[in-house]
Amino acid sequence: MRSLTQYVLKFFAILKDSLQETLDSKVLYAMFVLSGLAILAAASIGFEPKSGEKGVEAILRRFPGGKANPFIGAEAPLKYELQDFKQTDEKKPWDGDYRFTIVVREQTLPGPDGKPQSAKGMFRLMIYASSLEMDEDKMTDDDRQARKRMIQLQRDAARGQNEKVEEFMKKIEQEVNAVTPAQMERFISNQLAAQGTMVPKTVHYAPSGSDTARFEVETLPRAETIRTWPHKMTLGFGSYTWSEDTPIGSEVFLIEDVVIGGFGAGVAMLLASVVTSFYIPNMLRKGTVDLLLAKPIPRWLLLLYKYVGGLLFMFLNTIVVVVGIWLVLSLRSGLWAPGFLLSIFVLTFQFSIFYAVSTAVGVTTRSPIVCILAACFAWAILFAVGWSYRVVDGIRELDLLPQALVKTADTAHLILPRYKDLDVLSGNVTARDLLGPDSPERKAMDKSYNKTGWGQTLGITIAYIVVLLGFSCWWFTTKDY
Amino acid sequence: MASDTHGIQTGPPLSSSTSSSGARPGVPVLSTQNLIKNYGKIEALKGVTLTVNKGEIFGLLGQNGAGKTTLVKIMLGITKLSYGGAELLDEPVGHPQVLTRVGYLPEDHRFPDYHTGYSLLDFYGSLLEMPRAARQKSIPEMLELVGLKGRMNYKIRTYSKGMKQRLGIAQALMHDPEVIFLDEPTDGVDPVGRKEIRALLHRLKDQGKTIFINSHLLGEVELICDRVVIMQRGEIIRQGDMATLTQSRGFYLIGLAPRQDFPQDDVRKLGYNVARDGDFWEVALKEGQTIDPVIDLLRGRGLNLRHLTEKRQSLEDLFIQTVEAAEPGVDQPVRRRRLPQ
Repeated sequence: MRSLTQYVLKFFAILKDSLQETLDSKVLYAMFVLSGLAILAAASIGFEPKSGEKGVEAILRRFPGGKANPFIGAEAPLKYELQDFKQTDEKKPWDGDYRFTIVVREQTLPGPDGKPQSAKGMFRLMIYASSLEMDEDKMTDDDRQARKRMIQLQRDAARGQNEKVEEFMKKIEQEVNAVTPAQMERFISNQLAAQGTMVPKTVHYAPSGSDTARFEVETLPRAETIRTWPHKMTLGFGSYTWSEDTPIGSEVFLIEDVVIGGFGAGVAMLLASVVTSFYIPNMLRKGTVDLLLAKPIPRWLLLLYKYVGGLLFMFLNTIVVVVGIWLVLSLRSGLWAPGFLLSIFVLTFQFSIFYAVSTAVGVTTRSPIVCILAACFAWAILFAVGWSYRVVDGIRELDLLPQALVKTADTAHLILPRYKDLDVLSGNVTARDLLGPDSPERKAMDKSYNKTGWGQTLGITIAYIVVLLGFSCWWFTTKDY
Repeated sequence: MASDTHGIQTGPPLSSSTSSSGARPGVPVLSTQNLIKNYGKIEALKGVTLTVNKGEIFGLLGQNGAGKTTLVKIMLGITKLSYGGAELLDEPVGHPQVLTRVGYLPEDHRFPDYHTGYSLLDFYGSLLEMPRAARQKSIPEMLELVGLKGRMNYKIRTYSKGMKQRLGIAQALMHDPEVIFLDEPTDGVDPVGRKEIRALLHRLKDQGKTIFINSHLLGEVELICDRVVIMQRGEIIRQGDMATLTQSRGFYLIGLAPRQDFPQDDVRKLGYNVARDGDFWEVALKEGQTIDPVIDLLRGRGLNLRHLTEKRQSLEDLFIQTVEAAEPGVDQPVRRRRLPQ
């Protein structure tokens, strides 16, 4: 039995060899430069917190119906006005205790015919609609029943059963009109928690005009309030204003999860696949492989070491870009989200799927071009399957899609490596550090996360990697060179 | 060759030990028994049986496709045998521990050109389980030995073909192996370099190393090897020690002083066959004849003998004679068709 030390030394020798091969290709430097530029771009992002009053005003604008939709040219049907604002302590805006009045006004807006049209009843409709979207455990029996009826309504509408829809709309109108002051207070409380991560100490409904509702409110901060506190976000060291009053946590999350974890990861995956696609075929070139096979190291181990060398390339790159961006964003925003660092391992693990494909193709064809194509093809397939599954799963309850399509998406998702699931998992870990605990985005992510689960995702993905590498090792061990 | 390289040294500092196994000359270090290798329906080796003894320089000759490289690769575990047996240093071929005691220079080797000469040897040394200190000591010495020390920190892609070949020899020798397989070791090396490599191989032999050489350069092999095997189409068709294979065939070359005529008719009358060979005369002996009567005749005529050598059969003659006597090589029918009639 050969000593473990010898195997460790050989492992490091092959790692060093892979590193030299990578450094020689200059692509690593190019990727480091790209990473440096990405880090510089992240460092140029600035965040400026809003004052207490401006901040609460901005939070109120996030309430349902309070924001215009510029994409469809619709103005906000509701106006949440802040009155009698008072900060009852001297702390930072997001740590403040506040007392204020919210006045909700239903607006008069231009209708489809251009004539002014009152949004009367809109506030109650929002309260009713939001009660349908509450967490299951916070719902009353009435909420649950109403939710079931709404799902049925959506199904009927989708199937063009207009009579049922019209009949149901009348019922909805009745339910909307029956919204109580307690439901209104619950709505305001929930929105303050969801949109502002504030603890509503008191919320009192004070009757006023027919198209107006008043609420006297007292709030306390939470440790996570800063995540949703409105900040002005600038790019290019203040040269361009990106947003005026968005939640800082959401913006940082957008950069870390979507820009880096999504787009950046895709680019890194592609570049790493291209660079590492040469490792195995180069090793198997006639005249090169002979020299390696004449050394006292089992072939399967040689291949595995080379595989790990490829992963190391991705790992190093990911460390540079993720740690760099995490550090500068944390310093600039004051939000430290260590969960984002998990994406170093998740991205490397995701790459390990494609590199296992590349390795299997590399030992059988010895062609870097075929390796690149195979890795890209695998990426496209897994991306498409993961994305399709998310879409199908998102509207599964509505029962709109043909069963064959749903089953195909489910089966493909079940049997293939869970590339996109890993995105969900790492995104959720980042979201826990950055998004408000009760925010709608966080709830959506939690819902997706709870459906996913690390065990099955990692289990199936690792099984694929093991099978691919097992095949590669078997081929490499039994082949004559 | 670049000006900052030096030739292969013919003196120390090569190696330390003679043999770790302590085996004596005549002790087999490599043997095959009825070795067969099939690639699908193609029989690359058809029952090869041979033995190489410790301390020998052993030559493996044959035309392209004869199975020489396949045989070497089987001995190193790079290719697997189909049937039969093969042992190297008392272990079945491919045994990992044995590979630490074996050096190998493949034909058409392709070193990763992102390495420098030094880093390549360091990499291979690590795989060969050489301790770091041993590598640090051995690598500069080896590179100096093959005349590459001045270029050891340059990337291999800047090396000439001859320099790469020297580097290949260095990597095959760096761990002081007991058995060395060299596939075309002088390929791409200039005549001076070849002479240096020959001297190096003789020194290795003196140290008790066993050297297994594949080469098409029969002149080189003749100068280096103790024993050769000639293979054709996967079979051994001739083998023996060099002295026996290239023994005298009963031909002598005679040269006289300028302006003296060779008495060819008188020599023929003595019962010898005579033929002109350039400036010399070739005298062929028949069974039981010696050259002495011819020399007596020349002296009796007062002729001055300036040249007298027994003409030996060269390895090239032997090779061509042997392979043509056997089945023709794979390319021969095509070559014949292309020849003008």
